[in-house]
Amino acid sequence: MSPEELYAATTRANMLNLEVYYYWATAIMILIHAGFLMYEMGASRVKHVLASGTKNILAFAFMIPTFFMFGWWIYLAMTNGFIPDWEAGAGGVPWGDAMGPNLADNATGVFWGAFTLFACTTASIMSGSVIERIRMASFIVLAVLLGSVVWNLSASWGWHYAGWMVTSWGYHDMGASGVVHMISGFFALGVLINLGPRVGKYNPDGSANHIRGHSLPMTATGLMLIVVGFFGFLGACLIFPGTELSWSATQWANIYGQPTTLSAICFNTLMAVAGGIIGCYAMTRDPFWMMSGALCGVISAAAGLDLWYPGLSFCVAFAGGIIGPLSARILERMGIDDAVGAVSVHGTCGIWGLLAVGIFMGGYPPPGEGIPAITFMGQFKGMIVMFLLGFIPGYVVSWVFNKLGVLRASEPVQEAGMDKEVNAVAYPEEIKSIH
Amino acid sequence: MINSSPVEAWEGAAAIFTFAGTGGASFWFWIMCLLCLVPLYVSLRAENAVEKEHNGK
Repeated sequence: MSPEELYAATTRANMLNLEVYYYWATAIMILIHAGFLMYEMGASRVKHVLASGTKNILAFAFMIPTFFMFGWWIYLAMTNGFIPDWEAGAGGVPWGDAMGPNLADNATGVFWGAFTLFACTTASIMSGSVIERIRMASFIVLAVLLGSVVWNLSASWGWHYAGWMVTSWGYHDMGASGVVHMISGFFALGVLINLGPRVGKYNPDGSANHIRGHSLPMTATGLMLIVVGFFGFLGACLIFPGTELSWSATQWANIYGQPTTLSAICFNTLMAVAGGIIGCYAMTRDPFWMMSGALCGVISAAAGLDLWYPGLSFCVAFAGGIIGPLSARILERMGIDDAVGAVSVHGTCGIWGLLAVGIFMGGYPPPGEGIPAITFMGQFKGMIVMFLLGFIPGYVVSWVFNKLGVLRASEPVQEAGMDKEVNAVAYPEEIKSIH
Repeated sequence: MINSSPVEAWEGAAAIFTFAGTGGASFWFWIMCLLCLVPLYVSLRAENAVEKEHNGK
């Protein structure tokens, strides 16, 4: 075999390995959705359980075709801001040769699949915060807007080697603290402001009641499944080496082209999960928040997972485990009824994740010529963009739905249970909500 | 902003984590160890309070 033939055979083998890698990462990411499903159903009262579950599964189902219709194209084409790059977007046109079985293209389908699952994750994040009172059709439209439009814009701007936030500010968000978590968290906040609290959440004097879900064990198990799914999610944030699509012939790279390893992600993800759980436990001693602490931790460390010293990843995550529940308390006092703390876990911890990179990661070489290095101001400006890009569409569209009277279920329906609207009973053996 | 990078270029780089090869890594290692003690203290305090409440001690 000549050296050229050997090179071609190796590159081809690497391409098949790339396909296998992202295929299974996508499958593992579905566990995030299974986890959110259990988490939200467990956090719902008995009379709302199946409405919460149905909503969650429909978000997953709607995200897939809409990501095929326009989501993938938006990611590829919108790196400059709001003006499309038609040439770059050509690979994502849904009737193009790349967007279906193609023997000359082993990559597009698995990349599309992985990104579709990222989109499903964003929709699931919003879904938990609005349980027990949002109406189904409005929720589905909001979920599609978040997962197949808004998230794609944020990823195109800040999670793409040619994204304007990367090329202008050196924005670094390897594991998506901003582009997934902040976007979803603050989109949810915009929706929650218009949606209002669940019936019975607040007393006439403004004090808040703690509404308990019907199954904390189900919620805790769901959260552990999300943690498993995160290994697929974060693994899929890396670029496989040794193919014509890769940054390097011999080494993994992050989405910006800087070299890294799967070992780096393994070290820092596990340390962040632990730091977040322990931080939240120390702060609250509440099993619900302790498990949410795993998410607080991973989200806080996510932006820098490729570069943290594992001990520092633990400390950043521990701080996230304190920040998450603190933020939730403040929001509750402000009259925002976030049923699962998604705004705090994803939005507030996402802010901390971006800023932590800005504080601790000075001096790293940029990914390429003409691209700025990581700076605090770059991360800070990126954080502002992520906040606005998430919050404004969520607020505006839910405001319109609210004015049209299609956002929120009426008080009698909430009191009877949202399961009346899906015409199903979760527990036929007469297990009833106590309030 | 803290300059924590152990490398000036990606070519030929080995340990690239924050504070690699400096005292900064040991500093954060010991902070991590201390943070692990916090929940032990919190649990002990809470469990002692419950014991006291139920045993009248």
